[in-house]
Amino acid sequence: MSGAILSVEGLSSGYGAATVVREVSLQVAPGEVLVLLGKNGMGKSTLLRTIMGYLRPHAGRICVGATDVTGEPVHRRAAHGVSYAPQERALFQDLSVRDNLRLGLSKDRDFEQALGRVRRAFPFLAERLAQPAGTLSGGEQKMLLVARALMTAPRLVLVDEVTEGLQPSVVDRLATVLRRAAAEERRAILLVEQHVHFALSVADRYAVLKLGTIVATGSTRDPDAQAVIESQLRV
Amino acid sequence: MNGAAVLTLGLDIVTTAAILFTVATGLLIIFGVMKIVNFAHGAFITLGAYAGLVASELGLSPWLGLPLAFLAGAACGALVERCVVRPLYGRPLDAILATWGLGIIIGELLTLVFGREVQFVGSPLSGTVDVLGEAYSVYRLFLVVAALIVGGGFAWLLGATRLGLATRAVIMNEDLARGLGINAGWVRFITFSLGSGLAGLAGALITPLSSVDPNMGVPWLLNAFMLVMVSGASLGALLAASVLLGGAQVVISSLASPILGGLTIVVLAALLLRVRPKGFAR
Ligand SMILES: Nc1ncnc2c1ncn2[C@@H]1O[C@H](COP(=O)(O)OP(=O)(O)OP(=O)(O)O)[C@@H](O)[C@H]1O
Ligand SMILES: [Mg+2]
Repeated sequence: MSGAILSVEGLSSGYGAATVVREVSLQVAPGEVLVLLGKNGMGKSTLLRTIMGYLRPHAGRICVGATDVTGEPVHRRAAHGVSYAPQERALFQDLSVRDNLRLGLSKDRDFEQALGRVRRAFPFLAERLAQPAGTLSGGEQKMLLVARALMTAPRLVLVDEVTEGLQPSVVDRLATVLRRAAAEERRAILLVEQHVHFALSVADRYAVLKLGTIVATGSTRDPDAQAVIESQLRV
Repeated sequence: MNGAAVLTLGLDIVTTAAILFTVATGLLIIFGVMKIVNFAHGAFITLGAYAGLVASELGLSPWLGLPLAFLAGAACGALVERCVVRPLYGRPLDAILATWGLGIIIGELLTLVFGREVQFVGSPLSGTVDVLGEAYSVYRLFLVVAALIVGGGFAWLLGATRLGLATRAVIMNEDLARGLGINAGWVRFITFSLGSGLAGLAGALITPLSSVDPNMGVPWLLNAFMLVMVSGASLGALLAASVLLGGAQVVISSLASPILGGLTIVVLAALLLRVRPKGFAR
């Protein structure tokens, strides 16, 4: 697909000689949310880590916009407009909310403006800038994580299982914010999820990953989307 | 002991702590960011001392020796980071061996250029000043100011600048920092260069108190190493360690013997780590 922000072609990767992700191809366009579903250990995080550059692919290509970033180091991908909200160890626990947000930007000059966007998405964060991130509740930390990922006005946002263990009101809030980032701000979002309802409410398209391979894809508006996903997740 | 002796002892403790702090800060910051111990630190101290010597032999102002020593250390550190340390990143034991070997090479090169003999550098501030009725060396008091400038400068750099924030992020979680666009390799390069520059500066600062020879850095390296081991990556802990262990060194040197005093820091730090593996950190 031309015009895609993220295009992954024939990507295989893993840890050392062990291949975890096998020949995955996918695209995400501006304004689009693609959700990647799959049970534990199927390679979802491994795929995101490879797209971000933490793992060298065994084969395949990763392009951000028109740029082939396959060989580029992690920090250069961030500079191309990719932001990443990892599943684990995702915040600087000892740093304040403000410093965590500042680290989402490459320059302090843009902070006030970006803070305006944070205030609109998660008003409580703007009130608690001085608080250490580690003292926020689990749900608040996930909101801070998403807020930080959106600080730079990124072209592509990679989000890894952000709803894990959260209460419904927080899940709804995150869904609204991510939806808006895609629909209004034209960001491309690749979301990894196990929470099917959240996935269907936020995403435009889905892909199911099983043992590192995409086994089903489709539009979340297909009437049978939920049935297909649930049957794929069961077996 | 009379009042005057106690006062002198107190001033000796403060000035010794200041010197130790200045000498160890560069090693601490490299250890904090890069998780490696730079065993070439002693050689950079020696290099800085010779830079001060050269400045004074060229007839330059003794004050000019200080920035020259910093630059000599930083330039040498930058080169070493690129050529030796960077390829060994993530292999801390190999980095220790490599920097240790490098320290020996730098020492030999300095011997080749300047000879083995002990040389002396004049002090930019001579004489004494009256402190509560006691005459005390102006230069030693100046070293307290220098330590405050170094410590305050680093605290400012880390706490109040963008580079400092990036550096703290790398210290806390390097992978996460990289994902946020921070070039961790660049942060390490700057850190190593700054830390080495500071070793050079410390070398030039201490020479008026002792003398210059190709091995002068070794005892300083040992003391700095032990201080860093008990301080983790914290400047505050390093300050506390410098005051307490440096204080013990002064007391033992003056009450028992300077030879025992010279061993105090190493022995006490080793004991402290036995009892409290985190030392003064937290
Ligand atoms: N650092 C690692 N080294 C070696 N193997 C790993 C590593 N991390 C994950 N794996 C293995 O790779 C496979 C895929 O793991 P991955 O974390 O990508 O799964 P996931 O789909 O994200 O699962 P979850 O939903 O539990 O987060 C698993 O078999 C896992 O054991
Ligand atoms: Mg995962």
